[in-house]
Amino acid sequence: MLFGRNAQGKTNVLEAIYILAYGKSFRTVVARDCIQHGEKLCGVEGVVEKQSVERDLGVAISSREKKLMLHRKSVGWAEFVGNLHVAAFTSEHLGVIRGGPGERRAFLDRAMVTVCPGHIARLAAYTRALRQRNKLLSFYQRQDRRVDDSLIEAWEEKLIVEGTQILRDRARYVEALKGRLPDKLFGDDTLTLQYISNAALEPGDGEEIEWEFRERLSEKRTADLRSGFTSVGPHRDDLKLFLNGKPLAEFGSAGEQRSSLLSLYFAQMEAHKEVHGFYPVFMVDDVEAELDSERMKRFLGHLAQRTQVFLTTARETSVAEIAAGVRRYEVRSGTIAPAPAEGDADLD
Amino acid sequence: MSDYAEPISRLIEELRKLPGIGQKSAQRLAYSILRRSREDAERLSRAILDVKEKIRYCSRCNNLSDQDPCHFCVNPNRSPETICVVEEPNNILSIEKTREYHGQFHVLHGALSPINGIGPDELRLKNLLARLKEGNVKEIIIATNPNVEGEATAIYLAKLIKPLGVKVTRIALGLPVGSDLEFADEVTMCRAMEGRREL
Repeated sequence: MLFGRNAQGKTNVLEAIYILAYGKSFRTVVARDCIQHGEKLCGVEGVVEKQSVERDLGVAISSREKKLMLHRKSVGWAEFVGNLHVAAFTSEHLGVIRGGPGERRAFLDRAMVTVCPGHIARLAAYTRALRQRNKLLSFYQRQDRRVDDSLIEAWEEKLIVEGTQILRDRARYVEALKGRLPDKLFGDDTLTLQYISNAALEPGDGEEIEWEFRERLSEKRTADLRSGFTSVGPHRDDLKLFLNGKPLAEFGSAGEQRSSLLSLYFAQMEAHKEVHGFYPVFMVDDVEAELDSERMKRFLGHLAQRTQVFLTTARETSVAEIAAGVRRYEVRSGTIAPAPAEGDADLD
Repeated sequence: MSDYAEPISRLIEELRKLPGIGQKSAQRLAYSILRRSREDAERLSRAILDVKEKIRYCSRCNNLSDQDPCHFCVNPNRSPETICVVEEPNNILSIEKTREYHGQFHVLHGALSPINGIGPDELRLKNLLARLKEGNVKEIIIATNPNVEGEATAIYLAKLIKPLGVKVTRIALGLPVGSDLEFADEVTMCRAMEGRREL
């Protein structure tokens, strides 16, 4: 647990760990923004121990480039990612519940990186084909030319091949999450999930999705030609969340939304465990802001037996209420110092 | 640039326009040319002019050649029954290295890409269709690149050619021979699994 007053650098520590895991920050997509104002570069180094194997990880970011290092040697993204698995819980992630479908798709895609290899590459190919089809549509929209259907179909075929698999994998992953949502961890509320796609109403096996996606694309082609935009496909999908049968974003209280998001993370970590055999490292920024102590206590109690957890808090005293035996560090003006564990004296 | 005599800086500037040549390489090349004999320089400039004057697109297959039709198209030992369609002339060299393919070629000079303003009209397709109408061709092998644009181009060609009653095939995608499974990325491995064969 990291405690200290505001603006001392607590969140920075979590950010650093996150960068070691994914080569980028949860705070910004622009790598440059990680560099302290007035400085030329920044770097993170860390040693990860997994099943008694130690790995040296490092990331160096300058205004011009980013270097990922494994055992002090520069490596590519594919080799770097996967050495450290982290799930981060910060207030920014509440967008998954309150924000638009795009943020929920991003949540799924991010979580799937570690359990569904190839997903990111397929997304990239899909997005590329989507841009090409949209460009073609807007070309026909602007120019009064005879529409070459087989040309549009050529791009659709690519969308269908990649999109079908993206859709099927996402739907499968949501099913996996559903089966792993915590039972009564946060009271009696029931959280349910539903993956919604306009390309396939009830995503079944690959062939069914493919068939339905193809039908819908061609149904909507005339409308798409008018709008210059592809209206069907996994790039329009959404993950719906319901608490006790009601849409969470509209009807859930702030507290319910937070604990629901935590439930999602819980399921994500269980799904990860299923594939890799161990839990990812878990981080919560500003614990008090996220949950009331009763819920947090149960959640952390559950996690602490399974994986390493990093917390930040401004209120040092609240920690004892949350969990016993926590190692405490004080963060003050950018430096971290171990603090005596609360209650240690009693134990000794 | 004012540090150089005018003719040298002009040569450096021209060399710099070539791909892969930066300021330093251009300088090195320019000084190397300066040090060589007058005959060397003439041969180089003659060679450059010759490519521009003598190399043309083959009117049948669009390959770059100094004769029309090119030597692939007139070679009697090459079967007129198959045509391998590629994006660029240098792709022909890769396929020829195998010494296993004895059919004809066709160069599209690009792949479909609306983002870059390339549609069917920008590809060299007309003479391909004309060749098919001659009636000798039994199979078209599409060897466009295995990226999004190359795949879309392959699908489009198949839609265009199949109705003419010609067999259309796509080269296999998968693992490089002689390499190790552990070095394959997920997508390639996936494709290789899809394209598996019974033994």
